[in-house]
Amino acid sequence: MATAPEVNSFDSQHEDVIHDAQLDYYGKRLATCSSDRTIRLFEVEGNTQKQLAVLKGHEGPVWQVAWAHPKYFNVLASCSYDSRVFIWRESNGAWSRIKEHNAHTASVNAIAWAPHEYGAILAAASSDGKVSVLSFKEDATWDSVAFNAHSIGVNAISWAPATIPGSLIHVTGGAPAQTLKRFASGGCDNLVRIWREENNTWKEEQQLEGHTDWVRDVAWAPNIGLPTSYIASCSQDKTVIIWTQEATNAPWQKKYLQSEPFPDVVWRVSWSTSGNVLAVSSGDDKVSLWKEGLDGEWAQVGDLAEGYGQ
Amino acid sequence: MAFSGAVVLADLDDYITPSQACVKPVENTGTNSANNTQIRLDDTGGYYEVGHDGVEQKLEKASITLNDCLACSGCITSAESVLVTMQSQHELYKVLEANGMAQAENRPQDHRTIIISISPQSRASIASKYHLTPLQTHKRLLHFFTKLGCHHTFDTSFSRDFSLLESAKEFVRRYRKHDSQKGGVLPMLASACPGWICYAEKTHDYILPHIDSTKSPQQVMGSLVKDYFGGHLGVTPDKIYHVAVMPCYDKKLEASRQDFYNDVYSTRDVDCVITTGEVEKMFSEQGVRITECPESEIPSLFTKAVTSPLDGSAILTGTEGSSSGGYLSYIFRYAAWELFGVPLTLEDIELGQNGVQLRPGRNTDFKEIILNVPDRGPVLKFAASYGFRNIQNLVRKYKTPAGGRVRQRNGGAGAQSEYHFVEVMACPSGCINGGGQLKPDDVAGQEGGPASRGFLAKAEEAYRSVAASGGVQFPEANPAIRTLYEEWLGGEDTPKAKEMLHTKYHAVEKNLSSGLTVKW
Repeated sequence: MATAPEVNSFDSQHEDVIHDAQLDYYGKRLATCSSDRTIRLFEVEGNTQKQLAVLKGHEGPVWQVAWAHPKYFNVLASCSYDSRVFIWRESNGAWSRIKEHNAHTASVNAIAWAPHEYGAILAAASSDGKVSVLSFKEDATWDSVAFNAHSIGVNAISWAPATIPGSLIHVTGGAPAQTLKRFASGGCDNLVRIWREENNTWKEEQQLEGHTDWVRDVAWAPNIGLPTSYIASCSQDKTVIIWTQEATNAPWQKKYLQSEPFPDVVWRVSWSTSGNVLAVSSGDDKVSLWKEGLDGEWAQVGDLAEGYGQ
Repeated sequence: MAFSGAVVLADLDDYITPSQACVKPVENTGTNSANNTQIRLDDTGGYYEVGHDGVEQKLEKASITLNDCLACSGCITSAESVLVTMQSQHELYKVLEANGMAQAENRPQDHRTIIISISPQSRASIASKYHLTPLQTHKRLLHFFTKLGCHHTFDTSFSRDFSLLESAKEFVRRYRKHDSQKGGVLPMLASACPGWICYAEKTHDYILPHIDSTKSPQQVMGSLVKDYFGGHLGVTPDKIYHVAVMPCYDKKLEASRQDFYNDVYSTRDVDCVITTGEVEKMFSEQGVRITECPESEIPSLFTKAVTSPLDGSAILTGTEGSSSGGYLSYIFRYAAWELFGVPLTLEDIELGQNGVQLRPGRNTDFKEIILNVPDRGPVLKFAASYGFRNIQNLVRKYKTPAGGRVRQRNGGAGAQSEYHFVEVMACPSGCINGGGQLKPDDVAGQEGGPASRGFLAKAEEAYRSVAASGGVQFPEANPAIRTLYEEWLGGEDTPKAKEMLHTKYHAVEKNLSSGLTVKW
């Protein structure tokens, strides 16, 4: 059996609840954000960590941080209850805000960078029911598009991977297929909606119904080129649903992760980088790992023992 | 307990628990601390500072009064542990006793007229717990208080009619001014909830211009009793002791506001506020069981009652709308008629018909109601926002950043999505779930525990049963109100009306030295 993971914990010096912690692409830097309105950056090496900076500027709790792809050199996005999204960049060791995104009128709950192949694009989900997509254009200006996604609020966003489903198996014949930007959003109307870009506007491609309470997180599984696309969504109704699409434009099939609901609200779901293992964190302080079996049923293959998943 | 996805407030409990962050700023008079002074205690427990030269100086005891609790920005509704001692049924007993002594010792000049004003929410709470109708409860409370020695018992539903009328007129005035671009601050926010007012004054002073200047029903009754009724009886305001029975502890804070203090006679408009729970204690302290208490007839004065067509006895009538006063419902209908000539019935508002659109919000304590007029689209956008999580979300939309530049919201289309009026109440589910309301017996003694859903629903039903059985009497149809406007205030919109029925709000200066103040 797998050995227990080695855990190193340290005091972040945050003065209030920590809402998110994200390692950058190389796993060298850690960004944490908290209700104390600050973001703290640490350099992490083995068992040691060193605080690099404290980023201030938000006027409310900071809900999420997201590192951009390293090709953009140390760019971090953060979103907060004060309805703003900030994009920070490091230059010569100093961090500064390169963009303040004000498109929302209520708490911005989630942000997600699009796959780097599409450029520097950030999607933001807010309690005002809108999703906004912020893109950095070639002439070094920012473009932003906002649209209504879920009526009473949007809780989560997840981009589809850039690899075209099936590209590993099928012969494409040379010419690359057009980039199809898609993302999934989960909201307070209990739905997961899939959006695709068409002529610079975003249209709803699909609506996935199945949850009976607010959808708290959606995660689109990374794809190495296999034909099936997976989306995991978790909800206040204590269930996790795996949505599978056999091929592009096929209908989405719904499958509950387990037949029994979880003991408490399920807050986050996250796929491993190869897209095989799903980590699920729930309100009963547990983080469990799930894998799909050959029969199509999902089975728990492990968990992060209590105390680690808090 | 379901959490709101948007925000969790630390240190702000909607119910009453003592906050750790209370700090009483003690003024340092600047005496040089270079001299080492010693502190000496005398046998009575007084502290003396003994200087170098042996001179003793008595040190004043640091104490917290009610008004300090308003000033401290550490906590708001959590101030009750202090309030309980300052305003309670024991104060009332003292006054009753003093009256008794004044009578016995033949000192009629020291005799005070005791007046009790009962709120409909308190009445409904008692009614639902003891399985009585509000009418029976009111009659029993009448009997109980009269027997104790109180002279008159009134109903704040009556003074609420004043609040509703004035709020509605104020709204229409502001809407018209706003339309013509000459001011008129919108959205207008309800002013009847002292918990909300205290919070706004302490942490969101930018929102104060939005709050309706109309006094709450409790304070209107205070003015009515001390000014009009006192004159009627021929006694000065300080010879009247006005007690209000209210569903929450914040009303005690409200009664002790400086704005409601009469400097001339050194008396407050409402002298003492006791909660529904304290009234229940009074019953048991006096050895009376509410269920077996005899009943008195309802007086016609300052009570919202009409003669029943069935048997000619007096029955209570209700007010429309929510159990927190019905501001949303009344002002919506009033504005619809006054501004757009659309007559709306209570059913239209309940069911969302005749151009009325109801929109539920993220949780049960937030909802929107919109009036659509043909050819003009949505013209009135109202909302009800109960509980601090919803109040936070609402209030932050109107915040101007510290730099003074008003942030453009929604790219300039902000006017479209803004509300015109919001009924703001600090307690989730409104006044019927106030902190001082009765709790079911198995949680009795647990201070500040939330009442169960079923119990709350029963209390809410008891409140609405008054309107169901006695009908709804609209404020403008109340003949006593019209008479009072003429006799007491000299007409509508007179300076006297403004003085008696309106008030002001004051932003509390933040004590920046304290690190424990509410952060955001």
